[in-house]
Amino acid sequence: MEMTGFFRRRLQLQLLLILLAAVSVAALSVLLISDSIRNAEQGVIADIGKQLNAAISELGQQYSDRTTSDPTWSGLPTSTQDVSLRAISQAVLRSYPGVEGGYYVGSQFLGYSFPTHDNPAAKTDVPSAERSVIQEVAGRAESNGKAEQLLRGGNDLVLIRATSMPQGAGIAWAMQRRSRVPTSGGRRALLVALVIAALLSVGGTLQMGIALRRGVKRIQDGLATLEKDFGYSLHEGSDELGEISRSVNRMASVRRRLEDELRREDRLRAIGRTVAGIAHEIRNPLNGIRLSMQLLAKRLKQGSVQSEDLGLVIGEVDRMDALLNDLLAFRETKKVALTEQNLLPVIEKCVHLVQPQEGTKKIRVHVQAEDAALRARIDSQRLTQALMNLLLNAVEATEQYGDVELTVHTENGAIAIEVHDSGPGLTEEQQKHLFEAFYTTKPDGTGLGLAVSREFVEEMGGKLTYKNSSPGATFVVELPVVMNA
Amino acid sequence: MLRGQQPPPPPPPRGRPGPPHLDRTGVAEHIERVRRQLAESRSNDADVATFIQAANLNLAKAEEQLRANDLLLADRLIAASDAFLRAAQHSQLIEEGPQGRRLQAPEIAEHLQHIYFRLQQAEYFAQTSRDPGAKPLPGLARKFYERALQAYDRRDWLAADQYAKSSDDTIRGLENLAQAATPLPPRPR
Repeated sequence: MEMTGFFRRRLQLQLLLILLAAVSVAALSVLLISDSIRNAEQGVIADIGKQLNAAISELGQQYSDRTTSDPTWSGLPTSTQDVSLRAISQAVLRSYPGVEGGYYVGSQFLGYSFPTHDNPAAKTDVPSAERSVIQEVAGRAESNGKAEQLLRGGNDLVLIRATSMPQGAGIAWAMQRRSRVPTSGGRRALLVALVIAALLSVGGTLQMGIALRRGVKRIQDGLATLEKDFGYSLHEGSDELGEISRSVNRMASVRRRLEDELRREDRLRAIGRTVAGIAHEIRNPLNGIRLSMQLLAKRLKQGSVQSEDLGLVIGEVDRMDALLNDLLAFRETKKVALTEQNLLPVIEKCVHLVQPQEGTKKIRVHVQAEDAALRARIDSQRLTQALMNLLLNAVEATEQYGDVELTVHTENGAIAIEVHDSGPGLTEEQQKHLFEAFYTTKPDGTGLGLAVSREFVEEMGGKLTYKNSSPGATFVVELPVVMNA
Repeated sequence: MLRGQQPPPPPPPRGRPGPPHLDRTGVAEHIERVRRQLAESRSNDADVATFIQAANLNLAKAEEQLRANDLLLADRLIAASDAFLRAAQHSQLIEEGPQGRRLQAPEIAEHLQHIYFRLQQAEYFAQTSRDPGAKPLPGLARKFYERALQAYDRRDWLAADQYAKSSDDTIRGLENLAQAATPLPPRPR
């Protein structure tokens, strides 16, 4: 679960990073386009500025030539001067497409022209919209030598520059108007397209991230269910994760088939072991009976038959009968009868029954109960048989004067009855086959005791396990607890 | 300053031209001087004849304006007449040979560059003058400019100088005509 949380957090982080990257790319693209537009506009302004500077310089030069070469110039009325200066500005500005301009002398506009206008004859007056700005720029140029003003209006970009001419002769000015086509036209459309593309990419990334997250959660939930139910199939969507679900389902299906095969093989092996065990267990007493019968036949011929000879035969027959009883118990089909009752009397009865066995080896059996009133839903006969098996095994494994301890306590919501002996314990190999039928470490054992005991405990809803403890061995019977009323 | 005499009026704002300082006598003398020179001039060339014709025409107009006491107009018209007369005289000087200081090639080249710029104004001046007689004059100015260029190329400095001056004076005359056609500003109060 911890790893799942880690992967989920990592996935969230990756999605966040992808989203951040997409947003960054979009923002950077917008910034770059804006910057390029701004740079383009700066380039346009610089280009206009160069043209205006050259035009103004030439206007000033021609003004100087004209006024100094004519001694009567200063005596001429301004309207007369205007004609001459207009001719000069026309000649000068003809070389500067889109540039209009003239002179500003004695607070008057003189010699204005716009020779490259579509209809230059119609352009005889300073444009009214910019007139006041040009006057203001010319005023600043009178004070500072140079001045300029950039106007951004709608789709137009207008740059006005003015320069003071030598010896206070006046101001030469020029102006150019350019359409802000780069911003308003294709580039703006490009910018809008980029913003839309950026939004789409961010949206797409988000959608993809959410779908991926949902898909991963769906698979995680499916795998969690699959852990408990091998028959469960993950939902197979039509997306990329659906392919993963299909692969997992294929893998689970193969696993189920393999497990079925293994289980079948396991059953066959168990049957084989059972048959071999039964054959072995029956052969021994049969051999004993055969030997006894041969001896009996011999003594019959001699006329010296003794009752002990028959006793041996009867003993071997009893042994086979006990074996068959165990087998029948193993195949017991009688329905388990669970009743709620106090555990301690059942336990004490078991301890009492094993006392003759312990007596010969001077072994002491100690009982410790956490709560004398512990109750469970049990079949007292089955529990008695299971506990008897465990106690007898413990007594057998314990050396003379040793101890066997039986403790009863609650643990993890269950009643645990632990039977602990002080014997040599079990090897790892023995632990592996401990509950298999006909597996025994005792020379005269049937190998059915622990298998039958586990069967009985599980029928009561509990479980029987071996707990490694050094020294000795510990078997634990866990039963569901019944809460005291 | 004498007692009771008024102080002179304050000067006009910086760069602003004051009222023209024209007097009738000065204009009349100018008209008379041009008249005398026109009477002495001869035309052995169609182009020169065109200049003299334009000079005579504008001399007459100047006299008319002098009589009408419009000194500014008379002054611009006699200036135009004088300019066309000079344009004619420069051509005649080539035949008479070099007189006085001879211009050097760099000076002539500079003058030709100036005329090249002025030629671009000639058509505008002719149109602004609204004088039908001025119509062929921009073409003549260009023709003399080209003659000056040819003379310059063959290193005939006298011819190059005189033709250049003829072209320049023609444009100046046209400029004077354009100025004469401009309505006068209202007199300062």
